[in-house]
Amino acid sequence: MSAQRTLWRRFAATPGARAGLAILAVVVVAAALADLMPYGPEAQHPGGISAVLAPPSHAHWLGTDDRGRDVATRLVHGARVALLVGPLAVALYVLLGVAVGVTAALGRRVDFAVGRVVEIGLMFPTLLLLLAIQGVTSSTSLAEVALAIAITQWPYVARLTRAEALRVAALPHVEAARAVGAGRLRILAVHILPLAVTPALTAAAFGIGQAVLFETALTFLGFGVPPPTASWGELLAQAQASGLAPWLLLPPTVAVAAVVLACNLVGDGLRNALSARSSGGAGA
Amino acid sequence: MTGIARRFVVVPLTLVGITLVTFALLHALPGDAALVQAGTSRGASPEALAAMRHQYGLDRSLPAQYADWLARSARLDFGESLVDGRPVRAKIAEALPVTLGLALLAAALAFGVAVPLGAALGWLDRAPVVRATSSALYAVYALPVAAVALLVLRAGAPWGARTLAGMLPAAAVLALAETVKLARYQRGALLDALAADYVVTARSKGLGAAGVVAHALRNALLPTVTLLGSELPALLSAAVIVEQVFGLHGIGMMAFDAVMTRDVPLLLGITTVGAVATLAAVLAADVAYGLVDPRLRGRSA
Repeated sequence: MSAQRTLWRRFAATPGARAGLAILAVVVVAAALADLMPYGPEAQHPGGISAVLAPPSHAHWLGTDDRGRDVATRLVHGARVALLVGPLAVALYVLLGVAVGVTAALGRRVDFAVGRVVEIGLMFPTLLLLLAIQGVTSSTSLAEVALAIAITQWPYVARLTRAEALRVAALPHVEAARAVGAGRLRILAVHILPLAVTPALTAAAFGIGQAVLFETALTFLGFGVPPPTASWGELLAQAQASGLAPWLLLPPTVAVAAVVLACNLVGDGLRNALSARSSGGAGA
Repeated sequence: MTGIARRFVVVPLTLVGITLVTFALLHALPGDAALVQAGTSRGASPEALAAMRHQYGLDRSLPAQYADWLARSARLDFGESLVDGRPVRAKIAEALPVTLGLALLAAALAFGVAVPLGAALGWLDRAPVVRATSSALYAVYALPVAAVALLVLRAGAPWGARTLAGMLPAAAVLALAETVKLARYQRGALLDALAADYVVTARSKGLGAAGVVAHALRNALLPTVTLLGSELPALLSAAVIVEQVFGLHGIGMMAFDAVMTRDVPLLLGITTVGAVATLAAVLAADVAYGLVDPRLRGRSA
């Protein structure tokens, strides 16, 4: 219990970490309650041509889009897409990245192979690779977009985990386990993996924000979450297509930036809490 | 093996790996890769299809096909565009200068702003203005590129510029995130350097503020130079959006169009070139690191 309290104290002592959590909580609640918005996300306002691309008004606080749909409603529903794609993509690539990265501790040859594979993965500009994947598979469901993002991002986690696994593999407790005859796989799973996973946990927090950015970029370009699903990238695309109306441009900008900023702040807090644990734990 | 020497052993392996990835992408295509490569997906008779498969070597084993793919990639021969039938290599060569100009401009902007900014933040250390600026930078870093690009366009930046000066707003958007990253890095590097023994010594001998910063800056530049090299993939990624928003006909716009028209040879050609360019940038950063840090010079031999 007290270890957890220490972790929390170190997390909370990081400037902005608690604010980051608060922002994420607000977004999660908004996404959960999106159905309480006065309009449906795909409902078109029955006001004829005057209700299309209407500026903010009493009936539509953030105006309407080019089909007369309520922007505020679509903004709140867009949070669902971000909160589904971001964590799903990160869960996929953290699992893969940790699994590949930790095997580097199995020996020099495995490490060389892992190092080369990871390096190759790091050479591809993310958005170009994402476009190539979307171009050949033409996948557009939320899960497929998350998978595409995961395919481009796992090498970054693998690189972090590899470095940490190699560091942990040289620690005395691993040597002790080897001395008493523990098998290579057992050492990897029991003595190295639990410690080597730390940087991946921090990276996961930052990664959710990055994944939201990539999803926004893909959807903005028209190769991500397909219409008529409400998403922040789609709102930005609408802003571009309809003469840069500020009520279409600013709300998704603020929403994406808030989520990404919150993830980065939480990531900072996690890094402080966890790095303090590993350095403090060694001495205790 | 040390740093640079090791790199030159590993580079061919990485190049082969890049072609393996694009080969896998080609074969991840739903349906017959023959149709895509041949450029005719509908209305071909079975005999014509078989002839086409034979012509493109698609009736051979996968390893044989890969060997062919590797040999063609090595000559930068990515086939012909499915849209206008022109060689992919020629199309990329046409668009490359635009993206290169944009990326270099952005890198120069990012470097030019981030180094003094980061150094100033490091030098002032805990002043209130530093905290405020750091927070602002953090918020800027979270902005989606598309949104910033659209905002700048709305503010009156030119669309479809052909000159370097006209591309300046687009380059500034491209540089924004990198500037923040580099400035944060530069600040940390300067703080480290200021705490180093040789700077403490220089200070104790009565060196003034400007002298101390100049002293520390030289070593603090090291990580920044390397970082800039490894940031090329991020720049190329953001360039897709920036070029699309600002109507610039570079590699990013071409990749966007290639997905739109399902021009797979062009798309894979661009992906390969992007990866190879990144590899080159990483190597260049290594060499630059060696030039800035004399200790590393002799080691590569």
